[in-house]
Amino acid sequence: MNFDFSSEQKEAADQVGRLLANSGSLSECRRALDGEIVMSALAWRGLAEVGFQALLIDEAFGGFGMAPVDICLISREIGYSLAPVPSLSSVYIASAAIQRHGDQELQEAWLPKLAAGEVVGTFALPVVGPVDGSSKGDCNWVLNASELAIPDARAADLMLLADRSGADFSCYLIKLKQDAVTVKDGRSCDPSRPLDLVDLAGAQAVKLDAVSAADWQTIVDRAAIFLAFEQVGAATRALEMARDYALQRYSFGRPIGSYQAIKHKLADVYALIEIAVSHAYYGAWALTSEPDAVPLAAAGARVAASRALRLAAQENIQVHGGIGYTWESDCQLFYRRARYWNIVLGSDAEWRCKILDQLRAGAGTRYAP
Amino acid sequence: MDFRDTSEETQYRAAARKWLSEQASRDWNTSHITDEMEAKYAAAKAYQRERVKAGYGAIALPREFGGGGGTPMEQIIFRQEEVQFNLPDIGTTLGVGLAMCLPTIIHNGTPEQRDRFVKPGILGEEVWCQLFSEPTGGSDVASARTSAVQDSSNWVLQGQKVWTSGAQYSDFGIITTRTDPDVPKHKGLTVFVVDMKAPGIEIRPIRQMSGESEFSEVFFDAVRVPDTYRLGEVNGGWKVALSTLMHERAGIGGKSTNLGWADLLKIAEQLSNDQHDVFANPSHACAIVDSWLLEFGCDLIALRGQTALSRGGQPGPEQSVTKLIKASLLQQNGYHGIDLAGAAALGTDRHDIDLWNKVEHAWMFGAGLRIGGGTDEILRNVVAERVLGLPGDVRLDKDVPFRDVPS
Ligand SMILES: Cc1cc2nc3c(=O)[nH]c(=O)nc-3n(C[C@H](O)[C@H](O)[C@H](O)COP(=O)(O)OP(=O)(O)OC[C@H]3O[C@@H](n4cnc5c(N)ncnc54)[C@H](O)[C@@H]3O)c2cc1C
Repeated sequence: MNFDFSSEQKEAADQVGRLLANSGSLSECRRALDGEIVMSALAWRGLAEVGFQALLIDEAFGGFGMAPVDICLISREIGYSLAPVPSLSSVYIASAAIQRHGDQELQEAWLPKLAAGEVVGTFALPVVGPVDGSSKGDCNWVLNASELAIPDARAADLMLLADRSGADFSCYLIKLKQDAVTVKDGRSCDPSRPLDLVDLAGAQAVKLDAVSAADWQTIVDRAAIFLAFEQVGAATRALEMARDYALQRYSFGRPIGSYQAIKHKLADVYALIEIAVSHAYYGAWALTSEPDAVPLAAAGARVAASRALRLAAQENIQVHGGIGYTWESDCQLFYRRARYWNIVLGSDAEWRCKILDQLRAGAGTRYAP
Repeated sequence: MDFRDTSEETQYRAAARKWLSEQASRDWNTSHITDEMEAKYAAAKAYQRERVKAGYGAIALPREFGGGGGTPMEQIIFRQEEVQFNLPDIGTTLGVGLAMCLPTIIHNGTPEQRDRFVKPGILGEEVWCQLFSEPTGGSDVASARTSAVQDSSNWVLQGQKVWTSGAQYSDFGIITTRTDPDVPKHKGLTVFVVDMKAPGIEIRPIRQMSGESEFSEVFFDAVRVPDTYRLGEVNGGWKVALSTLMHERAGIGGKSTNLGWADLLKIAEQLSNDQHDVFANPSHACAIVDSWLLEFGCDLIALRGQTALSRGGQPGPEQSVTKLIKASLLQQNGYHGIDLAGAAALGTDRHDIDLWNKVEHAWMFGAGLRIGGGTDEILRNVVAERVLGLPGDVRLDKDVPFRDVPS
């Protein structure tokens, strides 16, 4: 029985944790809230120095070619720091898609720069409106679409667009820095994790023929597991913040943390975090050892982590009382992030349906240790 | 990161499985929920004798006392395999002795006490119970009022215990008593082994709301207990009691046989047909998903604990949440099983549902599990204080002589 990460993986994560602790992530989030930045270039550079963006990219393209399980604890540290960085968009999705499904030319063009953190990639949320495309021969397409919801588009250089709007599934790679593309602030619920709106007016795109709908779902499932580690990291931080405040704030002559209403609330948050951490671990195991277990493991990790972070963030505000409801308090940073992460890969309701489908198909017992 | 056994563990598991399948092919009384308790105990004792012969009787207890001398991990592996077979129920019969009382004696007893009690206990020849809770307090373990007064080489016990699981079937018990009421409560407790057949003890089974009588109230009227049965120092009983409670809460477990998500799924499948798809109802769908998330989450937490044990380390604080989560979950599962059955669940027999016994049991026993072995509230206190480092409750009785504490 070895349901744990290795000491090397833990040490690597500790190193990233120390780095992020020094990069003032919460004040970077606040600058994003005030509209000064769309991501923390400082934290992103720091992460690039320790090789985070390169971890899962092949050595041939400037990466380290590590296994997915090697990134999980680092993701947890990123979540714990709440650093406003496009890890989901650029590392877990865009880089992964190009690494797994791009042709040689695309890989050479993009992976080394993505690995170095020099360019940022992103993805489109499931498209609602139609994408109107016409082929220009080979893989070259011209696309028209309006108001695509894209995380991090203002920071990104390229995006992947998985289009389910037509009869067939198509996946395109689009450079964002071209005249036919306009990007505007979509007023994200968490400005430290932007959601932007993108118009394509005859934009040049490359179609990735090799990507099927199932492939895309696998990319999203894997990303959901990495993101779950970020979510439990953030939840742990929110719980610690609440605990620290509960120890220091007095009411009726005693620390509020000595009242059971507060103690029991935080015990419940702790319990849900441990459930979520354990599901995330299971996701990490599935990524490494059992690809067929990934759909259920990813859905479990995602739903459990979303739930833990939602509770941790909302009860952190409650424990802080009035000050927790102010703009100045950092409580809102966790509250906003919880909502953003809850939705960005699809709602709770959608992922819960996936769990049920998987359980009915027998995955709950087939891959259970 | 992987779930595979080490090569020693693989061997151990294979041997256990082989042995268990041989045992399961015998003609045992394997009823867990039954009114015929004598038969249930007899079967448990007979099966325990076989377990001891094969080295599975008390796997992690030291060999010098008749245990298996194995590791906690081996104990877990055996249990994981054992629940997959239909065998007599040791847990609710001999479990209190094997998991709580005997380890308490091993850790706190004199050499003579260990010699006298541990071996027969492990063999299942003597059945044990735990006499902590009293009518005036169960959560407040240190508030025991049953008094013990020394009379030369004996102690004389006077008072009452309650909720004592299996008292009516037990030969011995571990009991908390008040030996000095003039000091604060934690400082005036002494723990004894008590012979449940001694004169002056009266055991009255209590009928639980489920109709069964698994626990009793126990009256002590001038019951004489030899000083050689004292566990630990006079007035040093709090330490001993804590060690019993630690063993109670240390169950890092195999899977339970209680109603779980997989049962709910099966019931939903059983009740679905061409005209009626139970899963199409979002409320039922949600119940099954929630149940899986928590139950499998607890299984995974246990695997993290087992990883620590497998490496020879100590399980982490996360283990402390599983009893809290599972108790409420069992109660909820019971409700959802009932809800799945619909109007006909107003009755208590559903012969059309194979798992109905489990539903009925979950609905009742879920309520009890949230109380026994530490209530939900006490467990939340433990997490908040020991894991999160929040302050202890205000204790009005802490520094007051016990005799002045109101009840
Ligand atoms: C099935 C079953 C088997 C049992 N077997 C045994 C046994 O073998 N031996 C034995 O000694 N006992 C046994 N018990 C008793 C059990 O340990 C107690 O019932 C339990 O500890 C609660 O004590 P109580 O019943 O006196 O309730 P109380 O302690 O009076 O509690 C009543 C309510 O108040 C709450 N409460 C109490 N103190 C606090 C506090 N400090 N903070 C917040 N809330 C608090 C409790 O959580 C509960 O909700 C068993 C109980 C059950 C249900």
